[in-house]
Amino acid sequence: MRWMRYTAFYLKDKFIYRWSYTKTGSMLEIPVSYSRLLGLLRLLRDLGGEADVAKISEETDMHADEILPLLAFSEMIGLISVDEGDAKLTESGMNFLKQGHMGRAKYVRNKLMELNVFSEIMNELKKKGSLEKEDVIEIIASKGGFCYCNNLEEAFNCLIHWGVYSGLIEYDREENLIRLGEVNT
Amino acid sequence: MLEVEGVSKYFISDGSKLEVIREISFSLREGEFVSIVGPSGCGKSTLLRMIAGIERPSSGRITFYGKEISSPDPRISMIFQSFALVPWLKVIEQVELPLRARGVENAKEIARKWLNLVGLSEFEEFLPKELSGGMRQRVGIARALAVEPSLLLMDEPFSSLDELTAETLRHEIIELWKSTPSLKSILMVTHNIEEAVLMSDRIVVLSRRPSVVLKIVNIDMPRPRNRRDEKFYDEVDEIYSLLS
Repeated sequence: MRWMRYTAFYLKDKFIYRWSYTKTGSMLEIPVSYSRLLGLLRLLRDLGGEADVAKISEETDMHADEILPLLAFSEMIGLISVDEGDAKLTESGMNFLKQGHMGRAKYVRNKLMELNVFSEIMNELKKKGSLEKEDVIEIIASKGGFCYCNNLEEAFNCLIHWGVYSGLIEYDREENLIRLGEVNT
Repeated sequence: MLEVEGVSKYFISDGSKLEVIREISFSLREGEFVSIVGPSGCGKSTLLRMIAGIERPSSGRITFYGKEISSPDPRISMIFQSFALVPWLKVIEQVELPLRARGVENAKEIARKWLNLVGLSEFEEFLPKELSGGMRQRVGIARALAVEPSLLLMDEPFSSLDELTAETLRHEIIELWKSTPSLKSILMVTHNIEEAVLMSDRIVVLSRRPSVVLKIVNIDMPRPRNRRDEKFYDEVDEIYSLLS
């Protein structure tokens, strides 16, 4: 079932608001999750190491708005290459599949640190000790988004997902504060 | 390890008897992954609940290591389609819950070990509403396996997940089963024929209600399996032929 979701932020003296679709009501769904990423890499491996995007869409019953962010993120962290509608598993992608959860988290951690948005958040955290959710959303907005998400709330959720997964950050939901993860302390 | 012998199940509906399952028999041996497939409403989940000891058969008997199942057995765990997480408990508390109910002293330590094994070690303070569907089912898997069951029952465990997430968890369940000596066997109910062929050693194919066993199909293919293999397609085709 699909639900319409309305999100609004007050950011840099103006409101940013948007309607978007979510499939599962209250469940947090992000376009680029760890399980989806692994599923994509496995699918490519099973298809002989490469496939066109139309084939991936057919195999997964997922639409372009769900697949494209996944492909873009996977390419950004070096697990696949995408060229003229063809996605190809890289050697790093093959190795990623062979590793356990810890090895994969370490790989993602190193790759995230190469991204401007993460390096700035990490620098700010090292200076201030913690950041509020709104601070992080401002950094995401100033860097043009994250994970090719439709809106800033989704981008924030995606960044928290990957930041926490990789151990780079911790998120204190009760105080709405982001802190450095254990690997940095 | 598990014997289902001539099991039938009736429900009383509007004063009349509704026969759901008719004299079903099959066995599950140690080291096996068996799936139950059949049309919607054929009583697959009812059968699983009887094996879990939540419901009783109307006739016939189900035995686990030779003892008749009449109530939930601590050696049997279950994973649900709807994840069945407690909304107000953190991830670590969800996994600790069945351990504490059994009086296990180092519940937190064991819960942490299993969260680590399912890749959620960094998310132990999160609430279910802050998790994606795949992460919620990972919690469900950790919670079910933390009590070290011999038999794991799975009721449509991947049907509410998107296909990429589901495929990842299918592979991870097989890997966890192979790397967990205390977990002897898995019994899964699914309506997804390809999923059953991908994961199972044998598939019990049930008919429409009142369901009977149409055939028990052996899947003689090494793991990991590739859906694009010709033999894979042949097995899927055989089961669809039985059901149609």
